[in-house]
Amino acid sequence: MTNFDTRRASEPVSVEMSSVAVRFGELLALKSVDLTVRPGELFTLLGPSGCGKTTLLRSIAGFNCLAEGHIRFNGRNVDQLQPWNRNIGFVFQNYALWPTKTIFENVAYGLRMRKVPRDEIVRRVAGVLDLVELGEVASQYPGQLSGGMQQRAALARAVVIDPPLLLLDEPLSNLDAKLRVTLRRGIREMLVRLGLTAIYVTHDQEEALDISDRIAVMNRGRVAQVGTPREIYDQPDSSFVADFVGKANFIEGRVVGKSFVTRTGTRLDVPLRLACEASNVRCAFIRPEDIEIRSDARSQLRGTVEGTSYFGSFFQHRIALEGGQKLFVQTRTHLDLGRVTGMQIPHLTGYPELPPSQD
Amino acid sequence: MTDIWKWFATFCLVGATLLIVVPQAWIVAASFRQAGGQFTLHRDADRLEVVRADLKRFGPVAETTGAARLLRDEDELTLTVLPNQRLSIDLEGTPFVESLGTNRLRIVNGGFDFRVEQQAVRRIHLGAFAQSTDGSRKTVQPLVAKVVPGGVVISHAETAYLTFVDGRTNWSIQNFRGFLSTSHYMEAVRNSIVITVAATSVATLLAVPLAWLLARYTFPYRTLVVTMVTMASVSPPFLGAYSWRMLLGSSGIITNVLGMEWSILGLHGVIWVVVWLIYPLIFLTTLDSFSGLDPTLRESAQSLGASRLRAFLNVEIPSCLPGIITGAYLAALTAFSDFGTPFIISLDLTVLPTLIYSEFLSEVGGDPSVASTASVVMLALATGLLTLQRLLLVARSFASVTSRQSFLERPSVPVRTLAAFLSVLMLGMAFVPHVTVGVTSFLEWRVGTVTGNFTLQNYAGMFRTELASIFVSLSTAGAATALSLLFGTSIAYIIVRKRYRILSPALNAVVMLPLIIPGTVFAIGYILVFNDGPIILTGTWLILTLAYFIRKLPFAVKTSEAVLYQIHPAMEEAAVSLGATPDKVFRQIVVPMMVAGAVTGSTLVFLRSVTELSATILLFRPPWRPMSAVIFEQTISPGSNFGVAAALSVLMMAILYVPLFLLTRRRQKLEVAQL
Repeated sequence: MTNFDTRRASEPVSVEMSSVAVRFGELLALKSVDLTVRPGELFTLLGPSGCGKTTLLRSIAGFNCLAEGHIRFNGRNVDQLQPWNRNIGFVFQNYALWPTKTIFENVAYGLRMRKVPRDEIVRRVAGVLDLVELGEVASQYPGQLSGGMQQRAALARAVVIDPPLLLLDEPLSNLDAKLRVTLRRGIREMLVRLGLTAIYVTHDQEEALDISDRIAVMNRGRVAQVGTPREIYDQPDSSFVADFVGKANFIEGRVVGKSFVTRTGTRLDVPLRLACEASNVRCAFIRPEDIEIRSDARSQLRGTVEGTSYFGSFFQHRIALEGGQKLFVQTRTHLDLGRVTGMQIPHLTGYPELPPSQD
Repeated sequence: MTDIWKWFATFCLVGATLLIVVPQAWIVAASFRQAGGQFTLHRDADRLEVVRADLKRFGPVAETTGAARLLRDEDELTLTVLPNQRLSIDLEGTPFVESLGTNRLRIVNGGFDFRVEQQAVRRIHLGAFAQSTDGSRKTVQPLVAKVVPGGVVISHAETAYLTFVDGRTNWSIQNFRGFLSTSHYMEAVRNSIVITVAATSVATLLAVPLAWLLARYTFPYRTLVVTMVTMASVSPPFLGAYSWRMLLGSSGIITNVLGMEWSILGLHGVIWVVVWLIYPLIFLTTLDSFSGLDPTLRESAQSLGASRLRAFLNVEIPSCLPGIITGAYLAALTAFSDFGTPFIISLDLTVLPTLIYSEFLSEVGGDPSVASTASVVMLALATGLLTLQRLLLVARSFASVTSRQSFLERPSVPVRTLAAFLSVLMLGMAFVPHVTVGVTSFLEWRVGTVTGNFTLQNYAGMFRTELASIFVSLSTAGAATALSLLFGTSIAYIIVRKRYRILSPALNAVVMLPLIIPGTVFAIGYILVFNDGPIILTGTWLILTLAYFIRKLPFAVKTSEAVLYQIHPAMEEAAVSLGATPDKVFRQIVVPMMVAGAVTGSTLVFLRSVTELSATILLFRPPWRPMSAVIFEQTISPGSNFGVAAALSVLMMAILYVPLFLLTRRRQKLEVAQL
């Protein structure tokens, strides 16, 4: 596991994207994206399918032509650089291992392209295969390996060339849930040790929160928000981000003075964070786990328990307020169906619109 | 790089057009060219007589003893007897005459282009002696023409037959009118259709149930049956006819032993032999679609209360119909184009391929324009078959194929009995030819009859006399295979990956055309185009190789395309991201992966080239005689040594089955690796 040389020849790069737009025929897949990825950072592009995250990743690799804008590595414009000259490691969603070559030949390919001497190729491939624990199967063909092993082989093939930048396109989406969790920790630890810049595409928000240094949430060809996992989860800039990352409640209403008044007229005097002008607020957001069930004087809202789901470590209740609005509330304890209960709302974030429905 | 591919695509398109479209267009053109017709006059002293048996297009209007008036459409021609063995012909305009030797000349004017030939009758009866008494023997007067005002005067031999052939052709649908109104030709059309429909129906009714049984139940002999049917699917098409005739012909081995009046010679025999020839095609495609059918489709029908039979009829058959239709289409096309079986089974029975063959090749009474007209009729029927298949497939999307293996059930006793019966019957019949040929190749033949004596003489004879034909077969099929490997993979790459807006679809369309062109028609096209003109190839090694290559190219392209569709573009991008330039990606990534799959297509090309007969038989000329032609010739010429043909057939089977065996082994290994 250790004879892979983690002292790297190439320094990690920064990646700057300015006003990047990509067009496929009539479709504008990316609309003016501005992002900066810092050297050595594990940066995640997160978003629903069709949001443009893979398109952006492929543009960085040079597989798509930019309709507008520029991409720079360490300040150097790469727009005119062919993909085979960019010196980037790319891990594909379906691994793209060549079935007619052994694992060794697959991993060695990038080094052969770089005209590395034969004995050094053998040494470096053996090293990286040990790192991903595939030393035993070097002479086998991809078809003979399990999905998880193929995934690690694809990773080994991308990092063995010692790239200053590694791109990963949903590398875990073809694996089962348990393996995904194990492997994503493995990837995170390996990337931190190698110290390279990595851009990781996923639609799985839990995966993104777990492994990333920073996350860019994308929607319909634009960047909705950039931040650390905690910023994204705790302080979403828009109702879309709030809704896409984690579970969210939205209460319709408006801001009156320093309070939030629901559609049915209930006044909530809580700390308010506003994403827009107070007069433009149309709804307020709160996470299910932040709402507290209580029946004393500090209860601010009342509702009837309509349904309960059990998730093992917590219960999630669907509670109908007066006027029909539903709230999701998470607790450690069970609540009987039909019970009328009070709730305390500790804080709210105001947005100018309800999230676009995700169906 | 892109430019090189574009140039190459253009080169392929031009080449394919020249080798596929042009010969076919030539046939169509030839079928619409009507020959000028001909007539023969018999001049005897002062009498002029039109020979009725030798009239083509010309009709006599009025005939007196001294003159003949002939009419062709609107053109009228008057010939009048003049003294001293002279004849005047009224011709408009200024005729041009040219002598072509003592007995031949040419007369051309605005409407005609006559070749005139005289045949003097040597009198051996009394009159001749009477003539020879008045002095020295007369030499035959040569045929001479002289232009005079208003026509031509020719002097000719005494008592001569004068044949006028008009070489000028014109556009007309007369050939088709003639074809459709000649009962002999229409009978060939009817026989072809009867054989195609009957054989395909019987083969479908046998093959579909067996395929379904093998796709749904476990049998210990399941793999064996599939392997043997695959073997039967590549067996030489003429072997069956030859063996069945040897067994059940009018003095066949079995008919003789049983003293039967009945024999296999006739329409029923052709259908019988063709059924066992074509059912493997239906079986294999149907088995694929039954096995690939999502088992949950059937299970959901059964969970909703449908019995096994109802689920089969309501769900499985409709879902698998595209596979069945495709198999039946391929089988019908094979039956329709089959030349060897009807030719070997019965000389009295005319079908379209044998009609074309005999009209084109027979030296007496053959008519090349009938061959091209019949070719066009055949092409039209084949296109009709394709259209029918497409219409049946319209609005039937292909069955959803899942990776989930269908669970194979244990068969009940009746099911086991039925499957065993069908397997034994169908494999038995398909392999009767192989066994017959195998056994007779070790028996001594005397004057066209087999004896019970064991001998190795047939093999010795084969190596003594037929080494050349083995070489011709292997070298032409080998070269065709190499060509189709090279062009098949690169054309597939152009179609699937390059996607040029006009070039790629055009190339795809042209390259697939040979699939519907029957071998006989294909050969006629090649003979018309390469018989004269700038390139003369007829009868050479090259024309056989070209014909095999072009006719089997669709198989190579299709299998390579299938492989390419499986190669995810990410496989190429992975190499690019690792620093490989596009040409390196093509050489080091795409080619190795394609070759792994293209081997299947190439093996098919090789097998089908070795057994090709219908085009070969028209295209080959000694010394370039391939094995298929040798076997065929020996089976149809009475009294020839069938023993050598049998030995040659056994060798051909070895040539077929060894590569097929290696291919199946390899494919099983690859499938394990791909999982």
